[in-house]
Amino acid sequence: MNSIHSSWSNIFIAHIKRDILTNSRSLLDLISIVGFMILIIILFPLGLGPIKEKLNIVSNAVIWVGLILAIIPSLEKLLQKDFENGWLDQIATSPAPLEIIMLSKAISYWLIMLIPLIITSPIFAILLDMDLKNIPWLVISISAGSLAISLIGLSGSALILGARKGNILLPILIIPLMTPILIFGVGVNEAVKINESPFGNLFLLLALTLIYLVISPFISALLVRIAIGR
Amino acid sequence: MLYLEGLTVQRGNKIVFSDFNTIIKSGSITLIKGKNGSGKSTLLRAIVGFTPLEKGTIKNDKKNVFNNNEEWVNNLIFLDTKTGLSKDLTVIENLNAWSTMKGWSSNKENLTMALKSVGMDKYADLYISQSSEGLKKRAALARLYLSFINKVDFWILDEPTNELDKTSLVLFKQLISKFLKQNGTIIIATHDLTIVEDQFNILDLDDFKKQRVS
Amino acid sequence: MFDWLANPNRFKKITNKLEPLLMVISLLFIISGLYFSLFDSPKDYQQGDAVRIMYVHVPSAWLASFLYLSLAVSCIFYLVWKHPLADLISSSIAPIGALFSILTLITGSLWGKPMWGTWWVWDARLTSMLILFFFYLGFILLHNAFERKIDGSKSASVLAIIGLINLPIIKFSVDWWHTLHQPSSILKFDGPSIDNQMLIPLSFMIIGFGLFSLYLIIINVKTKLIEKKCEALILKLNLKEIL
Repeated sequence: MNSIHSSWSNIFIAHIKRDILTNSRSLLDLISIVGFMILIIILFPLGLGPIKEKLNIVSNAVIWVGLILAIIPSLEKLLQKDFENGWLDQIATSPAPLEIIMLSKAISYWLIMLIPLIITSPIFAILLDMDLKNIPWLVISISAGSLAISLIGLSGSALILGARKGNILLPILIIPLMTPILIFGVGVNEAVKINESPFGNLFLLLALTLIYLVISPFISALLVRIAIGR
Repeated sequence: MLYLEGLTVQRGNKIVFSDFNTIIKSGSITLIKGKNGSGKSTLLRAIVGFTPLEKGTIKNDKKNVFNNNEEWVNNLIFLDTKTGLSKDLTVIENLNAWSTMKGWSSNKENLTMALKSVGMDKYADLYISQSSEGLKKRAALARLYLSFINKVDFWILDEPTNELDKTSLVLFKQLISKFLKQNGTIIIATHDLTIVEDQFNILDLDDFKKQRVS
Repeated sequence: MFDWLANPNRFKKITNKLEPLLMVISLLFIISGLYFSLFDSPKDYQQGDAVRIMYVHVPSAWLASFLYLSLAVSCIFYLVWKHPLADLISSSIAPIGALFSILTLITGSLWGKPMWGTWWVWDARLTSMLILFFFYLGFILLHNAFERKIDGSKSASVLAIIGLINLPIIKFSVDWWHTLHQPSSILKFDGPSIDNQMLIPLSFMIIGFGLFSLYLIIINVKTKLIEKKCEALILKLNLKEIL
């Protein structure tokens, strides 16, 4: 392998290690995102009434909506901390392109924030009276869509870098972008519910992920360069 | 040799430099002085490539440095008052993260030597959140030592000595001498001209601006 | 060529001549379009007179989409060629596009009431339009969210490009979503297939709206140019006082 590219992959992995290390010091953050998710879910039986049939109908949508909302509070920190303490300046002096480093950020965010949600998703399913036999597909669909969520979140975080009150703006910027993921993600689970093939929606979800895997690092790197150049 | 030719740099809507020219010799140390706001930091950031040049070129010998941006930035160490240290990591974890980010090995011995060079080896496991400003600066300056193990030709430093006490300053001067001996080039923006003991050049931005206005 | 256009004085000279012309022509198109649509076009055999809302609804939808495309193109010009006028044009287009998307939503709602008895229908076009509105809103908010204006301009311009890439994806997914949940598509919201008598008022309205938007954009840009001049003057005066 070309020595430059083996260096890139080393740097890529080193970044992920650093991000995980930085975020794992605060166990509180990890618990809070799952906690927030559960709180969002709790609102629905409280609002609809603890009627199993009602909850069952909305279960897929509620979990996906909850997923999208639960990550928003932690997104602002994704790049803001590194920007303020000068780390983004430093990584701009790395031999690896900024795009690769942005990709590593999306992946480490996925590992830290979304994997816990994927693992605990059966709990959410049970709280919303989802049929147990549909849970495996729930986990599959969330796994398939969560990376895309992370990638879009990265772009959103980059857009508000240095903005005042950026955290208020973030949901308005991100939620419209998340709509396709929501549609296809819920589509997988709804199809499974009525015993139809989930593969159409799943394929679309994966296609989306591929598109964002390419676009998001480039857009985020562009925005970081703009921010550094101020 | 570093040739800065016709540099015009903008920040926001203001032009900070117009048609700035200078030559910086290899193996030399240049101190950039000027009032606050005279553009010291902007100049350094423009050399590194953070702030794009409106006009002009920067050449290292014959090559335009921004033709291969990644090669240029990897060949330098940049440090300013925002050190890039993470509060959630220890001194040595930060150094390790930085070193691997640069594509260099994370050999523990090298890292310890680097910490020693700024008198930080006993603080290796101290969290940055618990460190004073002086310790933080030293933790960042430890990176400079890695230039003696990996290929780095340029140090671009913005006010590196503000928080340093007398002992640390001595260690810093030793690092400078060592780097100059291996033909490294140092550019420092500072108010304090006593931080260097070797021969140095001065670039006075206030003079440059006065010339431009007149 | 674009540098030539960028000169604000030249821009002013050209647009000063264009402005009154645009205003008159666009109003002519709109008024005649309205006449044709309200009086001279056929009633729909199913929807009756209510179908006439289409003559405002469809052009608004077109304009909202087309203006977003223009916005994104203008932002690309700004980011790539750093054309200073491009940013002014972008921020002038945005509120107009947003208003057209709101107009689409409101006329859609007004149309829905006689058709289906509800004030809102989640049909594919209205849903996409609602999302488009949020892209406009996001652009406007982001543009103003930074301490220095130039930072807001750059960030919002990137957002516009993100929107350009994502809107086709979103439109596709919303269409997909709509057919998923309504396998038998009932009445198409466009109304029946367009015949010639409908084509004329429709095109008149689209052209009229388009020219009127251009007129509004030009006025907006000129206002911003004047604002810039004022700011520069104030800066000079302040400096004089200090010195």
